[in-house]
Formats: sequence, C-alpha cells, structure tokens
Amino acid sequence: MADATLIAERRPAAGKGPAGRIRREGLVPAVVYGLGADNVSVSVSSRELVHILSGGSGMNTLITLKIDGTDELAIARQIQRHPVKGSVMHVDFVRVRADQTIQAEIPVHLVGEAEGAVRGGVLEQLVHTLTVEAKPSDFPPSIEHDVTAIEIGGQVYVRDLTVPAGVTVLQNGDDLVAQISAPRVAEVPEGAEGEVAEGAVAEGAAPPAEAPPEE
Amino acid sequence: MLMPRKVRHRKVQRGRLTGMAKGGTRLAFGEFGIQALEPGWLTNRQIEAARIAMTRHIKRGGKVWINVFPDKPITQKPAETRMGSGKGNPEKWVAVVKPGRVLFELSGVPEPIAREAMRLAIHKLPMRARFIVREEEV
Repeated sequence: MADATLIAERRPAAGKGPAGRIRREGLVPAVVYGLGADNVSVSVSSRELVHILSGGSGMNTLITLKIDGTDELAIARQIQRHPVKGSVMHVDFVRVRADQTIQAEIPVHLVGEAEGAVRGGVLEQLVHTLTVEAKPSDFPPSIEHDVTAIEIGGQVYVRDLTVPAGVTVLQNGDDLVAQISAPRVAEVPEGAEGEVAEGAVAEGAAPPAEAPPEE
Repeated sequence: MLMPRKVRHRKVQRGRLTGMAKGGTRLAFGEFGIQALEPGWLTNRQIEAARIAMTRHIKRGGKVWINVFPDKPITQKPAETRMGSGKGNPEKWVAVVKPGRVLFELSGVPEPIAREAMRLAIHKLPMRARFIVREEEV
C-alpha cells in the first residue's frame, strides 16, 4: 500500500461557524482518534487530501499525519461529503499501528466481458466492496475477478474471489457478488397497441380515480 | 402506479422543502443514477413516466431501481369552489425530494445507452437533475 504524508494543524475552535471558515480557506476539518490516545481536532488541506485518496490505494491509503511536529500513522475513515457538490466536508482519521490488523472495505472490480453478457445476458454486480481484515500495509487497492468464462445463469460468490496473502475476508463466503441473469424481454413492444396502453398511463390521459387508502 | 397501500392519516400538512438530502445521496445498487439538484415534489405519475422513458430506451437487458416512494398525499379543492368548508380531497401522491437525492439507478447497460435513457427520464422530472456514474469513493 502506498504511503502518504499529510500536514495537519490543530484547530482550537469547534462548531459549524469555525468549520465553515476553515472550509472557505481550502481546508477540511478533521478529527484524529484511536489507539487509546486523546482525540485531536485538526484541519488538513482539501487539495492534498483528495489527491491522496484518489491515488492507487484509494480510501485505504496509509497516511502519516504530521501534527505539531509529531508523526501519527492513520487511515481516513467516515468521509463526509456535500450531497450535491461531492466535496469533502469532514474526515475521521483513525490511528493505526503497522503491526496490528484492522478492517477495511476494498472495492471489487469485475474484469473482462462475460460470455453470458455477450449472448445477451445481463451482468449484475451485487457486491461492490468487500470487508476484509489485514495489516495496514497489506491492503490491496482493489480485488479483481475475471468474469470472462461465466455463462447466463452463472454466479460469482465471495468464496470465489482471490485475495492476496495476509488478507482475511470477513464477509460470508456464500454472499453473491455477481450474476448473469437471462435477458429481460422488452416491457413494451414497439407496436401500436403497447404504445397506446402504456402511453395512457405515462401521459395521464385517463387519470384513474385514485381513492385514498383507508385509514 | 406507486402509492401507499394504507396510511395512518389521509391528509397531511405541506411541510417545508429546506436543506439538502440527508441520505440516499450515493449510488446504492446500480452503476448509473439520476441525482436531484433542486428540491421538489415528485408525483407518482412523474416517477412512472420517467421509468417508462428509461425502460423503453434500454429495450432489453438492464435493471432499473426507483429509490424514492411517493408516500405524501396532496389535496386539492375542486375547481370553482368557494374557500372554506374544510380541506380538499386527496388527489395525488408525491415523494419529497431534496437536492442530492438519488432518484433512479440503472445497471447492466453500456454507459452511452444509460446516459441517453436517463436524459430522457430527467425530462419527465419537475426539478433539475443530473446523470451520475459509480466511481471509487473520493
């Protein structure tokens, strides 16, 4: 896992007023906690934080926080984002030790074009992240699974995924990761009859008497 | 069309549409989605129209999720009625939508088809909305 360094400054004032002022300066309010030490309210550069988190290891990048000259090893957790803009509004940094295992969510990527999908089936991915336990330096950036050989009706379970050595999967092996379902027949044929039938509903040409449900 | 099977109160007050969506702001099931950018009331007819626009465009394959449910009854007084005489009759059902809310999700189709299907669906909605794609969390 890639290692990154981030300079964090203590922030004395709490609350949404000071937090808003911090954000307007291009910083992100954050908190550092874990390993039995005291919680520390800090602020970090938004630009550098996004740069680190969008790197190869993504969310699970091991970050060395420089707080008042001391180094703390941490991982970003619980990232709060603006609902529309998507900008980072607050981050929790959890202190970790390099020799202690921790839990993390690793993205699952399906690679290749499935045989069943080529024949008209629909590849559905039901699990997008996998909960695993490992030492902070052992986390892979993502778990990839080749789906090329899967036919229509074929399924991929958590137990089928290959994880690197030192990584333990915490999810049930029977959980379905992906499946290729048979092609769905088009709901509305392009014929005139279908158009009229569904058009009436869509346009509300003949509004049905909607009796309110009983109390 | 979507509507509750039964409700505790037939008529409710209008409420306010302030602030941003508190949850449901990220894609939960599919690869692509429609995210509201403005607040508004989404009626069950608009949801149905958007769903039909989407499913017609993708023709076969693909899966559509509707992430909002119209559980709020809206009353209207009949036309040319004098004021008073109590609250009007329930006429439609709406979902209260705030900015950031993911309304629909779609998967199992290539991105260009999903983009066009959702563009058609967005035209059926009463508020500004945008097409979003699942990405790594950053």
